[in-house]
Amino acid sequence: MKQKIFKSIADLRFAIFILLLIAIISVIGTVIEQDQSIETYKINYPLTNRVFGFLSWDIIIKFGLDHVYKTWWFISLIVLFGLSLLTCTFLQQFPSLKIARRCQFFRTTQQFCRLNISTNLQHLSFPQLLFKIKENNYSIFQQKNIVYCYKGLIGRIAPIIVHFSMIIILIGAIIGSIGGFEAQEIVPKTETFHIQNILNNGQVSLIPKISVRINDFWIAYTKQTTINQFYSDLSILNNDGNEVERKTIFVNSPEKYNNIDYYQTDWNIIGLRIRNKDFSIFQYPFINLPENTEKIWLTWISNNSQLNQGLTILIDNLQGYCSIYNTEGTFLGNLELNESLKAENSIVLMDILSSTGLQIKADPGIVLIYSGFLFLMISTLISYITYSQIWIVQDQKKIFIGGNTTRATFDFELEFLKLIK
Amino acid sequence: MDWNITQNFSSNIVFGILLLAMIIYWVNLSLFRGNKNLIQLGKLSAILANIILFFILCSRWIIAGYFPLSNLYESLLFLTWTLLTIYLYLEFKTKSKVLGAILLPIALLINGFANLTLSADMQKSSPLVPALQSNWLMMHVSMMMLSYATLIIGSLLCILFLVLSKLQEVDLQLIDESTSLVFYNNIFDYYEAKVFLEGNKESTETTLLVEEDIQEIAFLKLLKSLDNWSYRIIGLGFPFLTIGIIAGGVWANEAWGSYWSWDPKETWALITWLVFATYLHSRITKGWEGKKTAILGGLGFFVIWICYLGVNFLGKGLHSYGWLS
Repeated sequence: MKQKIFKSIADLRFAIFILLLIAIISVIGTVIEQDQSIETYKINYPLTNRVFGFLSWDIIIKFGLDHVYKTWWFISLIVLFGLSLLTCTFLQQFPSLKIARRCQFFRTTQQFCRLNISTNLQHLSFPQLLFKIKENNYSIFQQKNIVYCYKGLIGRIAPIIVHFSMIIILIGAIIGSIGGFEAQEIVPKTETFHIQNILNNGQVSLIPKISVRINDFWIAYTKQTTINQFYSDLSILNNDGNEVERKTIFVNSPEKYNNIDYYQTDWNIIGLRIRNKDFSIFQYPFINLPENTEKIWLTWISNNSQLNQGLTILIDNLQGYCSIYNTEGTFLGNLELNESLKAENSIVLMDILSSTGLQIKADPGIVLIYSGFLFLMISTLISYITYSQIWIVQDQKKIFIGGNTTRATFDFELEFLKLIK
Repeated sequence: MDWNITQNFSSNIVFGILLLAMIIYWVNLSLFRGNKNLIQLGKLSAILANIILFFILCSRWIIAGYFPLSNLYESLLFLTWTLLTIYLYLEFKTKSKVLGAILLPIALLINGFANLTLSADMQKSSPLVPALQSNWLMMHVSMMMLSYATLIIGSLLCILFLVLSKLQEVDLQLIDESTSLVFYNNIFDYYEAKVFLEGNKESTETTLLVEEDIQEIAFLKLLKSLDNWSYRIIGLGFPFLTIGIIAGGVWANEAWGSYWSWDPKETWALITWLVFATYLHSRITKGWEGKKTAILGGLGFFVIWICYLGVNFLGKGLHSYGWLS
């Protein structure tokens, strides 16, 4: 009974079925937006006007379609897929590899009838034929008048490695999700942070007590005033507050220290420092305009102590200037750092306060995943190689020759024709 | 010299040449069978279009300073170039006239979409955003484009197989079970000998029978070769797709710490991978040769287009162009 279950899981048809099933379910996750708030689903998939006639937000929430890739049934599908890979490797691939490594001589001429490509020759001598086959890089095994040749055995071994690398990747992903964590921190320039804002973690993750100081954050702009790159200068501090590592990170160049990776992913402008006419320095906070896909920040500075008249300041970049508008909304001009405003309220822009957004991640399974990736890349390429076999039996004056191949039937036929010419 | 105008002009020339080549191939296949000059002309135009595309891409690389794969327009041009290059290599190897008649229209459509439908704004090269400033851009996107091109060619051959076999119900097992290519070569010799030896004493009926038999054998042989070519080509495109997806995952891990985030584009790339894995596995399933595998291969064609363009235009996420969001 157990044998039967394993055999059916290892069956090719089951593999095809489960691959297609995973594919179809994955499509659902791309059509329905994932990980949104319930309100978004209530708006987009209302009960009264059902999408496709039946889909509404309660069905989505009930079946977990808002987080398809994390539902228990999807994960169990993937586990089943991994099981299928394993059983196929042990029950089908290993045995066929064992057979392939043996010399499968044909001892009678009846066996040639089973082959797709076979014929009998009279115009070539045995040594001539063998020499031609050798020229085509076959391994030749001879027993008196019977010969067995094969080529491309590695094309039979590679699919086993493909399966194994996928299993390694799956195991690595499991280890990563159980033992890793992901955190995000938005840190103002010159401040220090601890890893606190954890987005997700696993059952056995360890969040280290480490602190990091952002020494500086700046943006490099191109000549066309578009953003070229974001830079953050970080120092990692030990428990006494002393710096143990310092690095400037930018997008695509993270800092990796002690198995924790710090990535530059976001930025924010949080405030403005203004010097008034009487040399007092005030700090004004910026707010980010909501419902805007671009980043624009806004603040308001009053002109008088009644706080009913003032200047609106907009900023959207870190190039060192901001744009000033009066109460009516007329554009007054751009004010650069250390420049004084040519108006009644002659303020001087002292500083633009920014903060950097870091993504902090630890993944203990990454080594397994990367090695799985490497083996998968190489083994899928090598699987392209076709495994060809040729059998020869010499019966008095006639030579019976036949062969077959796993993948490149057309090329093999041409090769065979050239051999028997 | 304003490079934008030159590039635009050369792009339009490529479109014109591809149109010419496609018409030549179709005419050659349907009306003037085997006209050597026409075939040569068709091949030369395809080669010429390929060379011009190569120069356009190189000039974009040199002027902008980064590998020409940063926006939709460049990726479309790159895809056309890869398609044409692989097609030319295949035509050189197999000497088939059928490939050109199917692949050139696709190349033409892609090139036409790139030049005529995309606005000039989307065509010009602008500085790379920080997320794309990485060496992985070259590796990941070029491997994906290469895999798309190979898989498109392979799945097109599957679709052609389905169309041809629909016109005439065939049983591929006939060729496998009964005899082999060698035997058919002998059949040709046999029939040749029969026709020549018996000369004019042949009754027209028998001669017709011979021709019909040979035609049917030739047709079955064509189908079998299409089947095998599509298998080999998809068998090569699948590792490319694997490498492309893995390169994307490793790049994502180096850029923002997550090698797989179920983004629509990533998910569709995985779906494409799964569909072609199904195709490859169905080829070794007993009894599924021929039509069933070709249906899977043909399905792959549409999945590739959803993965490449559909997600960008219809979805949201990291890879979105946001036209319909």
